[in-house]
Amino acid sequence: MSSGTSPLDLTEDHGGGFDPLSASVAAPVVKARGYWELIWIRFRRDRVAVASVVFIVFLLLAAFIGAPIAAHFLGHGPDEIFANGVNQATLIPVGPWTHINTAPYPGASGHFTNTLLILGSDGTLGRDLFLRLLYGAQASLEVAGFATAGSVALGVLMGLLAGYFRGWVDTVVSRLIEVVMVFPALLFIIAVRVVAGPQLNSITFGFLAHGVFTLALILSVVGWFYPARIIRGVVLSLREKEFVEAARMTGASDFRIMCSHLLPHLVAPIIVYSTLIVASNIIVEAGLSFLGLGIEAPTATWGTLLAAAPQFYLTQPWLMVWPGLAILLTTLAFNLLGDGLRDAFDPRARV
Amino acid sequence: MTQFLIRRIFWAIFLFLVATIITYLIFWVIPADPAALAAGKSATPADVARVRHYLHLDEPIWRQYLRFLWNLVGHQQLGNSFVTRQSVNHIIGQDAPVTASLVFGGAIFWLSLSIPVGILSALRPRSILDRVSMSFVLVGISAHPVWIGLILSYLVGYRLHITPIVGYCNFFPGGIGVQCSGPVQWAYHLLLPWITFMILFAALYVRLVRANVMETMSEDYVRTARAKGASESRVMIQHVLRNSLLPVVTILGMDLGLALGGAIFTESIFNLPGLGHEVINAYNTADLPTITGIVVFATVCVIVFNFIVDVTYGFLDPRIRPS
Repeated sequence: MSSGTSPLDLTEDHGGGFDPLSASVAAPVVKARGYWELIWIRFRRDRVAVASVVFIVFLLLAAFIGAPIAAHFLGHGPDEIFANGVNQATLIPVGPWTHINTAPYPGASGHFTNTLLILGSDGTLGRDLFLRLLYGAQASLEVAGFATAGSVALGVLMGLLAGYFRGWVDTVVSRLIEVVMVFPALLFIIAVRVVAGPQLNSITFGFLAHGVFTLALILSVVGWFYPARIIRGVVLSLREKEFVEAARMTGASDFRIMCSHLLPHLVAPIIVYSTLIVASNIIVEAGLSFLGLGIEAPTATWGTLLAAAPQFYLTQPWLMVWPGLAILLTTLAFNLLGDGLRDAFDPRARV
Repeated sequence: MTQFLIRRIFWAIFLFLVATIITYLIFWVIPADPAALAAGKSATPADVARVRHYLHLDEPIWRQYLRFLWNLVGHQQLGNSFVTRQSVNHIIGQDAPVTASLVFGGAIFWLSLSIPVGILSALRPRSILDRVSMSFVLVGISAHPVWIGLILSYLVGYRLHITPIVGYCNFFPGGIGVQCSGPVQWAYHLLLPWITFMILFAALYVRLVRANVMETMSEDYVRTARAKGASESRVMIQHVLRNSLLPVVTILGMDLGLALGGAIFTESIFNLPGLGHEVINAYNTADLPTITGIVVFATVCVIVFNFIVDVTYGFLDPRIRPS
């Protein structure tokens, strides 16, 4: 990384205080800046993008580390059902910051401790909305992350093959892209869910929530064409460059040219578009879970929390505000980060 | 032009075949036992076997597919619902006008907002209008369509009582058991769904129009037009807008599939009895013929729409034809 904060500071930091003697004697050592260093310098000047990164890191920490800690201190889990989480007279979920009794049913004999629902309860089952939002972030981010990894990997492979080999490979891939684009993605997802949902849902690899794999797989299959088109376009122009010709002249195989010479040039678009695809996958996951096509109960995601909201939206409008805000802020952060990265990678593209 | 037309027709037919094969494979080959789904929960093994024979599921796959295709092309029949035993054609005939009203009305809304805003933003980059519209674009693509719909119906419908919260009215007056009908009620009930659609897509289109117009303005032929003394309005209308708005039309054709997906959300929030609503109901009751029918119908719509857009585009812009 650069030693100084100013872009004009080209001297190496010699450490210690200011020494007029050595400063006047030693000639300034000019150090060339690397590719990544320049990107980092451009990126950190973009305050919005840096704030987005901070927000995303905070969100990841809150979801994967903060959630179990919060559950520990509150003394109950995200899927725990509280009879007193619902107002027994009006059948409306209790509002934010309510202390409730953990009795299994109202008026149960014996002594039960009180517990705190920070954002109130999530619906008719009286579960802790705050904890479910935190744990919901886990499922939502897992689906979005794995689906993005899957669709980008598939898209890069297809785009690279189509752009590099051209000819019939390109024709096949381009036609495949057209077929995928014509097929209504959401209906396709419904189709796969109805015919293979239970079998796919049971694949968890031991750490994923029930159904995360299904969604990640489906979203990869329907989403690869977008990165594929972009990568194909980039590769089509890259393959005509001199360095590819030089590599071919030295006897490099097609595989080697693709992996060692083309792929490094694709890192920038891959990172930028992955960020933007994560944002759209978060939205799609929430939408599917809202329709009951996503993660299955009792696992919380932002979409299932949003799905519970319409039932109470006249009496407890907070229920739709929190998950919606969580989705809005997260996707906004990823979109802004994507824009910031694009500017950092390619300052000329800025308009 | 004729050659171009023939090629597009063959491509549309090919797409149709591929789409029906994929649909058929997904629905009738992968499932553990469609006959058991069709026979219902309390069916005996003998019932299931009878249903399997009745649905021709005991035949080889290729014959099943050809039968499916023949019913589709020869008789335009999509089969009967497992649940209500109604013809799927009838179900789609009832629901399609609702979805069409939603999607096409929404398209008019989002185009009439995004084209002027996009052009003005491109003409004055970094102006206040440009910054405001770009912020709106970011929020529009980041907010969830479901959430936009819910918040709108809560604020505008419930709090301010300006529009109905949910429901649909037929465009044409009359009908049996219809509570409200007529163009005014129809538009009144669809206002919020249209606005939801508008926010969702206007965000994408403002950005698209802005980028296209800016790119076209830096083209050589625009500079040439200015150099030869064409007035600024002539340059804009004849050279810039003509070339930058044509691609928008193509993308509009491609986005129809996306819009059908968006319709599922909008219909379920505003309780509109359209195709999306129907497909979710069918999903919950594992009603395979209805889902298959709607998927095939939607795919055919997208193919036909793309075909029309392609041909129109090829007609308007000769550069497209040879490729």
